[in-house]
Parts: sequence; structure tokens; C-alpha cells
Amino acid sequence: MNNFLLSALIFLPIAGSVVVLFLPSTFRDSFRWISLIVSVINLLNILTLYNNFDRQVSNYQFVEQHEWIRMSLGNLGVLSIDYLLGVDGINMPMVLLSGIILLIGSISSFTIEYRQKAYHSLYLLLSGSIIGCFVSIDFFLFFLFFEFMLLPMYFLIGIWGSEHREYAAIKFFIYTLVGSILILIVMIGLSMSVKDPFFSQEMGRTVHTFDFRQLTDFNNFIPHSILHPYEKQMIFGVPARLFAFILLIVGFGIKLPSVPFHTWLPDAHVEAPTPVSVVLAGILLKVGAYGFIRIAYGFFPDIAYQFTYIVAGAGVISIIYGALNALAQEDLKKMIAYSSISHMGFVLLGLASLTLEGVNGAIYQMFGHGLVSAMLFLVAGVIYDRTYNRLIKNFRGLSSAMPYFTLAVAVAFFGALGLPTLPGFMGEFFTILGGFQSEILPNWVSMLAMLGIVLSAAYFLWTLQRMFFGTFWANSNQEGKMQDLDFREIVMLYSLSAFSIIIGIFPSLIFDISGVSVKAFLNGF
Amino acid sequence: MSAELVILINILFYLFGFSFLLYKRNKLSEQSIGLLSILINFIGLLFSMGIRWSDISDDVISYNWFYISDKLFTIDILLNDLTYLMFFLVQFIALWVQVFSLKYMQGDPSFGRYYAYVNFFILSMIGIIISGNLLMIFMFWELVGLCSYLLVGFWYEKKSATNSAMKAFLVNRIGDIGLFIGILLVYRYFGTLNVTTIVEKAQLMSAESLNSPIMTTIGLLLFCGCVAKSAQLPLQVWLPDAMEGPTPVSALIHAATMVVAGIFLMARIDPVLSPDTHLVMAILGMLTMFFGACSALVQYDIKKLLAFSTISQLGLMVVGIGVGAVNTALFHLVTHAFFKAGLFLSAGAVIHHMQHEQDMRKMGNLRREIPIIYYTFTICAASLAGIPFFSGFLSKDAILVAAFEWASHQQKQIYFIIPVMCLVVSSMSAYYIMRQVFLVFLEREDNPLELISSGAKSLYKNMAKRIEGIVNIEEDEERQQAEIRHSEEDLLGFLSKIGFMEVSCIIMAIASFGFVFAVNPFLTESSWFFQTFHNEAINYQWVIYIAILVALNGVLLGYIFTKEESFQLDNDEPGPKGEIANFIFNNYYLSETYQKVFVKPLLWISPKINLFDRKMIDGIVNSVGNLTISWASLNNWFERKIIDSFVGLVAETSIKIGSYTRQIQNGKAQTYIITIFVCLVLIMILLMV
Repeated sequence: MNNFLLSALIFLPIAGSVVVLFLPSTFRDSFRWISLIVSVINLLNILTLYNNFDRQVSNYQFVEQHEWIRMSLGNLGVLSIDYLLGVDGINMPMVLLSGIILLIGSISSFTIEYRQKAYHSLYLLLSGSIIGCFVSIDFFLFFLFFEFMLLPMYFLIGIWGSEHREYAAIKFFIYTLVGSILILIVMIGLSMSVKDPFFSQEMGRTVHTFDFRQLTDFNNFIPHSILHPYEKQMIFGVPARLFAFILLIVGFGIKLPSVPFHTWLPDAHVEAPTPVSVVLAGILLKVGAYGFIRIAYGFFPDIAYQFTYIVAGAGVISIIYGALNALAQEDLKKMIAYSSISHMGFVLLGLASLTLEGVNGAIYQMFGHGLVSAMLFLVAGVIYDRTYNRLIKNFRGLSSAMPYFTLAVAVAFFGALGLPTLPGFMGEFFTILGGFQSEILPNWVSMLAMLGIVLSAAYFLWTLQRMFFGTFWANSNQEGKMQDLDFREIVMLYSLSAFSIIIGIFPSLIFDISGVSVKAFLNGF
Repeated sequence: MSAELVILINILFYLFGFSFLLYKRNKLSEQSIGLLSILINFIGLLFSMGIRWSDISDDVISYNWFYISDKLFTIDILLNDLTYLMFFLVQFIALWVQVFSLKYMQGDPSFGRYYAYVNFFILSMIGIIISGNLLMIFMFWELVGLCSYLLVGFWYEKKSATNSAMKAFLVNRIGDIGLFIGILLVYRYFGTLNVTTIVEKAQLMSAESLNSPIMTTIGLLLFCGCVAKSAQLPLQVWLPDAMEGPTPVSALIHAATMVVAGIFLMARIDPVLSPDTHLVMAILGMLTMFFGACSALVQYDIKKLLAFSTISQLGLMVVGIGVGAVNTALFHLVTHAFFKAGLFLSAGAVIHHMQHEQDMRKMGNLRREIPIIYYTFTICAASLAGIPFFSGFLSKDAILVAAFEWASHQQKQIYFIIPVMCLVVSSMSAYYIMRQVFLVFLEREDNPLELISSGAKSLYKNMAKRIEGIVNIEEDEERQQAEIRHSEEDLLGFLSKIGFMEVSCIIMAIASFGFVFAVNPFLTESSWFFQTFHNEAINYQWVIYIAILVALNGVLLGYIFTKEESFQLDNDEPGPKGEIANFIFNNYYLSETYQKVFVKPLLWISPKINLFDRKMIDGIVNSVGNLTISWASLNNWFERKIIDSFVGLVAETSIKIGSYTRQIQNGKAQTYIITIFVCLVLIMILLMV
């Protein structure tokens, strides 16, 4: 069973998607259940995976390798693309996060009434590609899934979104596609520069590989290749590796998103339907961060070391700039979107520190932010579903009318502003601790990041103050619509709250997984 | 059973209390909520006493918490006398505050929520007390901040309450950032967060390395946390506003326990603090003490006066730590906890009696109406004033003595300003607390009881509507008057009036007597406190006599001046007359300054930044998009007009040629013959040439 576990994670949702697609519309009430059942099974599989994950090993585990494409390139050798899956301490937390968030998203999708068949088919397709993106350890396969996520996402925003959905969907699609192209360029360059030592010897020809395990090893670079680490090949007078690294950080920086490549995010988030926002904030942003760790930092450690300032600087600017923008928002969902930008900045800071604390903290922050931002968007969705309105100033004193909702909001807000025992705190603590421990970063960079902590407390508490305290009132006599949470919403919000608290008090659930791999990862620097 | 197990079980009890009460807050009756909560607290108190009297040595217990790669982070429980003392103190005061709240919060629709929060607060406070490493201390430190936020903003429908709560949280956050950086630097330079290890390492340091800039930086950053939490200058602005919360909460959190957490932390890590840090603490503490006392002098709000008094007393404790008298400062922490809790609870009883009127100008002669509260308040006030035979005298004067001792060891005479200021403030506190006693309880010439009953009470009937229990104020008043008359007749009637509120006040008042702490009320050394904790040497016996004189002088002046004071009752102005007095009354307009300097610019700049984001950064993205579209349409134009029209031109030309040549092919033999002939001629000409 273990040998097919990762494939099952990818292909079960895709199979589900096909099933939904071919079921006649008379079954329309069952589509949501199919998507729910698939998500539940997937989460159970992921928990099995998590449980059987060997925490003492830094290598990839549960590896599945099948030869996929072998193509002769004439004089250049052979191009070898494998169907190659595996998990280690860096992507395991992300797989776990995906399982949780996708399940929450599928519960949240129950409210979708319009064109259910298409919706659930696309949602399951998205689920499969997200997990595929996290577990594939062949660059080509990774890129395939990375690109493939865009398609369902584009339709999910463009068809089921709110008012300006077409604009947001197009913007999201094209912006991220630009990032993908930059990554594609580097991918081709890398595979041209690296050979698989084992197969090359066996076949007597140069075998170009996309295998992550080969790409990290400097010994596998072909002499005189464009991205060779020790030979300074130049492109337009810029060292080629530097050039490739810049392309990567821009490419993944768009996905993350890091200031100044972030502007697709507020639009996409605001226009997307609630479950899609949840998935977008909960997981898709982490794909960018994961790419940063695994690909930009993993394959170009030498350049990354030089680029510490820029990456940390982008992180700190994202933290402060995102927070200041969040402070100015009048739309609840936009406020949350900008807070996401701010909190993802901590991931960059932790990563740039290149310390055990920082990188582990970054992974923890990714996980924690995934849970918290999912909650935040669900919270915004609860209000939007009732009133079709998201403006902060249109609501007041909701806590008297909706006590159960307010409790969930409090957990989400305080989780985001970094209250201890909730996930935001440990992430911020360890990324900043990493910044302070770091030999290559000056202390003031991390100190600036602290400003973000104060600001995030300010905008979250201010929102809490404006929307939830005071005497109960909702604009245009919508008080009657403000019912407290129904069963489905309680399940989603309270299970995420409980999970956040557990992760916040027992950070070892994540750190135990990531620890050994991060240590091995940092040995490369 | 080992001590740490007892404490952990105790914490679990509070956790249960919190979650159970929060869950069942609307389903249980007030009696069962109160009973459950008090029972939990009582068991905790028994535990704490059991630990205190059993034979336990200092101990650090570590559990593995999590690994970051191979670095271990532990859960450390530090057990020493200070832990046990605070463990007892917090639960003791919390117990009586909870008893008090039974009556005070009676009829409040959120009764259950209140008790749940209190349970959570006690839990977090115990967390700070037992934590043996800085990470845990910081976590619980933030959690008590959350409790403070929740309880200050308890009546969340009141805008002022939630504003104050937010302010408290944010101001504390700013201080916490300093603490946070301090902790990170400790981790960097000591390689651990374990308090015991850090203290041991610091004690092994030479004097020079302890006084190095980096140690001073660490010390000052850690002190930042104390500045915010213990309301020191310039971050003390949140504490007076925090009085928006229910009064028992002010007694528990904002007087006796949470605000002293900063002092507690400083005491825990005292060996790490460099001499320069100590000096800064002494000076800042002195300033806080003085300015807080100044503000207290001119307050009319019964709770705000006490809040400023708390700020001032916290300043005194910081001075104590600054001059190196850590245990003396802790002693004052303990005595202050009792008498200030007593003062707040008594003030709460007064407020309850006055139907939520807090302006002291509208009070007076309450001695007759609530005699028990009068006595408890006066006893606690005497303790605050530093009158002999009361606990405040012992601890306050011990700090004074220590300050003189410290100043005499310094090279320059200028350092004597600190102990002298302590004396001055001592006199001031005697003055303002006497003034308060006078205003609230004693008879004033211009302010007879009748005026109060008829004027103020009817004015504030509206406010009283909050209290659902009281339906008819008139009736209630008559009953009270009758009770007063009755109570003056016999002791039994007097005792029969003792309710939950009175009991709590009486207990606190008893705990404010000097004999509770020391056999000889004039000799601090004889206190049980200093038998457990090492006492710093006392040589300056004469200081104590001066202090007594100064305190009595303050009381006397307070009596004389307050007697002269007169107010117009219809005067709704909150502050006193005069610009300087108003300046002091408003806490030096610090809040307003911060509002202007930090908050306003922030709220001004953030929409601008957002505009920049939307117009500039997103503008670039959009214009790239639009540019592409324009380029595409230009291409399209070129395509259709130039390239395609060329193709069209070719086609049209061939059509034209075709249509022209078609005319030749008209099917007439003559035309063909002419054409053939012409062509032949042309070919011949060509051939000949």
C-alpha cells in the first residue's frame, strides 16, 4: 500500500473529477458528497502517511519512480523525465496542510448552487494538482502540476466569483503564468546542465535529468554547461546562475506573493468564492514558498547565500507594507488578503536567515498561516453569505448577535496576530529568532519585522472593535439575516480552531517532521 | 505528590473551569457558576498552602517540549520560594475577588463569561509564576495580556470600554516587542532560555562583562516588557483607561497581580541586569512614582485615583529593584497586593452602593451608609499611606531605607535625589489617599448627604438601569436608610449586613495590618517574609522615623486641604480647575500626544500607501496589461491595414488585370485575328531586334 500512497493522493481526486464530469446531471445533489468523500479519504491517507513518516531520516521517503519520457536530443544526449514522487520533512507538512484545507474547502463548497457539476469537477482537479505539486520530486512533473493548478483556479474564480470576477481571474492567470514561464526557463537550463551520473554511465551517453535529488548535487553538473556552479558562465554580462536565481525568485515571488509582485492577490482573493479563497490562501501561496525553499534555495545555495539581503528585505518589506495596507482596508476580505501578504513575509525572513530556527520557523509559519488564513476567509465568507456585503463599516456589535461566530473570529484574529498557543506566535517567534541567530543578517532587519507584529495587532483588533463590539447593527436593516453559525460552519471553523490550538501548543507536530530534513538542507550552504 | 504535579493539576482545574464555564455560561445559574469557580479557586488555594508548609527545596523540572532539528526546547517549571509565595498570593486574592464578584456582578447577563475569563486569567498568571524559561514566560505574559483585554472590554457594548481594551493590548504589545527582542538576544548570547541557567551564567560573569553594552542592552530590552506591563513611564497610559473594566477585575488584574508581573520578571532575572540597567530602572521608577502620584492628587474618579496610585506604587517597586533591594521590592509587591486589592474592592463596594457613580465629588458621608466599607477602606488607605502598624509601612520604608543605603554608596550626592523623591512621594500618597477617604466617606460642609441622595442618585437612575436587580431605587433607598438606622442600634444588626462584598473587603483589610507580616510592627526584619527571603542590610533607622513623620504630615495636609475644597454638583467637567492641574489630571496628555504622533500619522499614511499600491504598483501591472492590449490592437491594425491590404491589393490588381483581359476574350473571331496579328508583329519586332 505504501508504495502507491502518494499516487493515490494525486489520482483519487482526479478520478473523482472525471467521475463527476461523466455523471449525468440527475445526480447533481451527489457531486458535493463525492468531493467531500474524496477529500476525507485523501486526508485519511495523508494521516497514514504522516503517521508512517520516519522522522529520523532526511532523505525522500515513500518514493515512487517510474520511467516516463526518454527522448534523444541527438548530440546533446538523452532527456529523461520520470514520474517521481516522494516526501521529506519539507513537503510533508505541506501535504498535511493540503489535506486539511482541501477537506475544509470541500465542506465550504456545499454552499455552491450554480453549476455544481463543473464546480466540483474542477475543485477535485485542483485538489489533485495541488497535492501532485507538493509530492513530485521531478522538476518536470512539479512544473506540470504547478501549471495545471492554474486552469481549474482560473475557472473557479472566473465563473463562481463575485462582481469583478473576470478581471480577477484573467489577472491571476496571466500574472502567475508569467511567473511560471520564468521558472520554465530555469528548468530547461538546469536540466541541460545536469546529468544523471548513474544512467549516464550505464547508457554511455549524457542523460539529462529533472530529478530533484540529482539537481541539488554540484557534482552532477556537466562541465561547461550554462549553470555550472564553479564556472562563471555569463548571460548579458550577468553570471548565468545569478540570472537563473533572479528568474526563480521573481517566479516564486509572484506566487508567494512577495511585494512588489503581490497585486493579483487582493483581487483574486476578494473576487473568489469562499472555498476558493480558502484554498488559495491556505495552500496556493505555500506552493510559492515551497518553491522558494526547494528550488530557488535548494538548487542555487551559492547564489541564495549572496541574496540573503534581498530575500530578507523582500520579506520585511512585505511584512510592513502588507500590514500598512491592511490597516487601510475597508473591505474585510481585502484586509485579510493584505494580512496574508504580511504574514508570508515572515516565511521569507526565516528562510533568508539560513538558520535551523529560521527555516524550521518558516515551514511552521507556512503551516500555521495556512490554517489561520483559511479560518479568516471562512469568517469573511460567513458574513458575505448572509448579506452579500463585506464592508467593515456596515457591521457593528456582531458579538451580541453571533456569539459562536465571534469565538471563532477571536481564535482566527488572535491566531493571526500572533497570540501564544495559537500558530501565528511560534512561526513569528522562530522566524525572527532565526533572523537574530543568523550570521549573515544584521539584527535590525529582524527588528523591523517586529513592527509588523504591532501593526497586525492594531489592524486585527481595530477590525474586531469596529465589527464585533458595540451595539448590534447591520447596514440596510440586515440585522435579521445575521444568524449565528449553522452546523456546517461550526464544523469548519471549530475544527480549524481546535487544530490551530493543538499545533500552537505542540509545535513538535511540525518541527519533528521538518527538523532532520532542514538540517540536511542547511548543510548545503 | 510532588509539587510540580500539584501545580499542574491545579492549572488543569482552572483550564476546566474556563472551558466549562465558557461553554455553559448561559445554561447554569449564577449560584452554580460562582460556586464552581470559587470551589476551584479554593482547592487551588489549599494546594498552594499545602505546598508552602510542606518541606520543599528549590527545584527546576524540565519536560521536553519540542526539538528544532537537534536543538531542544523544554517546558521548565521553576519552583522556589518566590514561586510558592506568588502562587499563594495570586490565588488568595483571586478567591476573595471572586467572592466579591458574586454580589458585584449579580444580575449581569454575562455573569458566566466573567467567571470563565477570571479562571483563564488565574491560569495564565500561574503560568508566568511557575515558568522557568523565557519563552514560556513570554507566552503566558501575552496570555495575561489577552485576559486583560477581554476583561477591560468586558462590557463590549460600551465603546469606551473596548477602546480602552484595545489601547491596553496595543501599548502592551509595544513593550512586549522590547521584551521579545531581549529574549532573542538572551538566546543568542546565552544559548539558552532557561532562567536558572541564564542567572547562573550571569553570576559567574566578571563585573566588566556584566556591565558590557550588550548586557545593558539585553537588560533594558527585557525591562521594556516591565515598562508596559507594570505601567511605567512612558507606557503607563493604558492603566488609567483600563479602569473601564469591572471593579473586581481592576482589583485583581490591574492592581494586585497582573501589573506586578513586570516586577516579578525583573526580580527573577535580576542577576542578569547590569548596573547601568539598574540605574535606568531606578530613575525611570522614580519618575513614574512621582508623576503617577501627581496625577493621583487631582483625580475625582474614585477608580482612576487608585489607578494612578498603583502606577506610583509600581514605580516604587521598580526603584526598589533598581537600587538592588530585590527582596524588599517583592515584599512591597506582596503588601501592596493586599492593600490595593482591598482599596479597589472597597471602592467597588462604594460604586455598587452609588449605583455606578464614580465621581467622588458626588459622594460624601458614606461612612454612615456603608460603615464596614468605610473601615476596610480606611485601613487599606492607612497601609498605603505608610502609617505604622500597617503593612505598607513595613515594606515602603524598607525600600526607602534601601534607597538611602544605595545612594550613600554612590560617588555623587546627586543620587540622593532618588530616596528623597521616595519620601516626597510617600507624603503625596498619604495626602491623596486621605483626600479620597475624606471625599468619599466623611462629612463635608458643602456636600450634605441629602443633596447626594436626592440629586446625584436621581441623575444617575438611567445608568442604574443596567443593574436589572434593582427595580425601584426609591424603595431600595428607604430600605437602606432603615437598615442604617437599625444597624446603629446593635452589633448583631451590624454583622448581619456583612455580605460577600464586605467579607472580601474585611479579609483584605485584615491582611493590610502590620502584624500579619511582622511581630514587631516597627521592625521590617522581624517579618516572616524576610525570614524566608534574604533581607538587604538596614542601617538607616532614622529614615524610618522621618518617613513616619512625612506620612502623618501628608495625612494631616490631606485632611486640611480637602476640608476646604468645595464643588458645584451640577458641574459636569471631569477635570479640576486650572491649566496645570488639568495637565496633570489628564496624565500629561500623553495619550493624546501618542494619538497625534503615532496613531494619527499611521492612519493617515496607510490609505496613502494603499492608494500607492492600487495606483502605482497595481497600476504598473495593469498598464503592462493595457500596453500589451494596445500593442496587440496596433498589430491588428497593421495586420489588417498594411499586410492584409497588400494581399488585397495583389488580389484586386489581378482582378483588374483579369477584367481587362477578359474584354479581349469576347468570342468574336475578328478580335482574335487582330490579337494574333498584333502579337505576331510584336514577336517579329522582338526577334529582329
